[in-house]
Amino acid sequence: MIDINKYIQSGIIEEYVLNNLSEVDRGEVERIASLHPEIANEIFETSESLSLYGKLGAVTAPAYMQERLWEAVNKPNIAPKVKTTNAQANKKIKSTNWAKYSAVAAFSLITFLALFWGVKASNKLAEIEATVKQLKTNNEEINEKLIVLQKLVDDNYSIYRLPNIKLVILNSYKSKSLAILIWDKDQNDIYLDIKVMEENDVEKEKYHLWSITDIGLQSRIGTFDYKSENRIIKVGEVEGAVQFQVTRESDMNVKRPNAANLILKGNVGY
Amino acid sequence: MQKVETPDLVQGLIDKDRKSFDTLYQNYSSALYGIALRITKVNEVAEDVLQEAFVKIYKNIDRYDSSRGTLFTWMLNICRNSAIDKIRYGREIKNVPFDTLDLGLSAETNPELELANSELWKVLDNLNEDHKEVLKLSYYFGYSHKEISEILDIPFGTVKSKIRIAIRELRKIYP
Repeated sequence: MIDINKYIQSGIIEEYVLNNLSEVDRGEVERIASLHPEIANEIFETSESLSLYGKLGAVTAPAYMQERLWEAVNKPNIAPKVKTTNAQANKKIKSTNWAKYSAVAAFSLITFLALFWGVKASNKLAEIEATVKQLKTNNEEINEKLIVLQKLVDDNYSIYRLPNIKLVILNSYKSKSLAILIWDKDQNDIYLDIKVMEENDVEKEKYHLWSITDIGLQSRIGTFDYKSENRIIKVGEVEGAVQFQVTRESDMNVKRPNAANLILKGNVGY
Repeated sequence: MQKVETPDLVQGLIDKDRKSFDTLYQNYSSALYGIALRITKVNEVAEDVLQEAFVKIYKNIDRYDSSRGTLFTWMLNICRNSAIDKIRYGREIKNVPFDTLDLGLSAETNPELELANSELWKVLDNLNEDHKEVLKLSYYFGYSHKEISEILDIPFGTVKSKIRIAIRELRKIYP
């Protein structure tokens, strides 16, 4: 037998109303509410209270929004579902696919027949076959390039999808270089997405990335070589900085960024 | 604002009736926009969130079940989730750190919030400081209980009980 007061005191009703429960837990709350009117009433009252508080923080939307929303809700095929069961989703995909396959099959059949009879009549079958073969080859090449491009994008730009990053633009009028520094604030990792920069002579010199703190402390985060195919490079880690600098140094043991060798600079905005 | 009975409004929306849409907009858009704006901070993004939320509400209105809560709470959860998705996974804003959720900063960066916040905070100021904080983070800024526990460095169970007490306190001062 459930202790109704204890259940209400547990805070689960508030979580239910705030939509912070899993689907399983929501179902359990609803099952219990259907058995105990006191709990159903508590859900209703909590929901009512929160409705009032929501209205307290109201801000009037711009006047044009009413028409914009009316147009949006009436656009066909833009129905994002709040929730769809897996079975429904599978069914939908399945039926859509069947429709697609049927349409594609019908289209292919008609195209084939038309081609066949057309070619027979004009006696140009060989020429068309060669064209189709060429198109097929081109198509395969394009597909391969797309796969490579997609992989490139996924590899290079996944950093930008990290949940807690800070971006700092590094540039320099003098060197005409440009890079975006990506600071993963969760891991303190520093990445450079280099847009324009000269390749360094790996035998003689290296690029050095420096952090400068608010009290002027200069520390080397790491060194790196730049080749144009290496777009995003992980350079090192840093906990705090107000400015970043990149210098190109032939002396690997240099202790501080040398202004004469400055390639890139950027301040951390707040 | 036009007073409307929820079952009539829901039926009108199912029937794709323009008047019902206008009523929905007039009665609820400002509250939903307020929530979207508090979470996203940017007018244009909040407008997109409001649009997404309205489309979801409109297309799924037949799924609304009054036994699970009020229509407004149902819509509010849709809007909050859309706003949270936008700031976490969208391209518009990379990251909204906790410290930028400070109200003073909101008012500076978005004057439209100032007036609404002054009203809201007048009511919330009657709450115990701790309770106000958790309610603010959970209800007005869309943080999950787990996230609040991490942000405020308090146990998960304490977050739940503080929210419960805050809602109860609010019921007394704003019945």
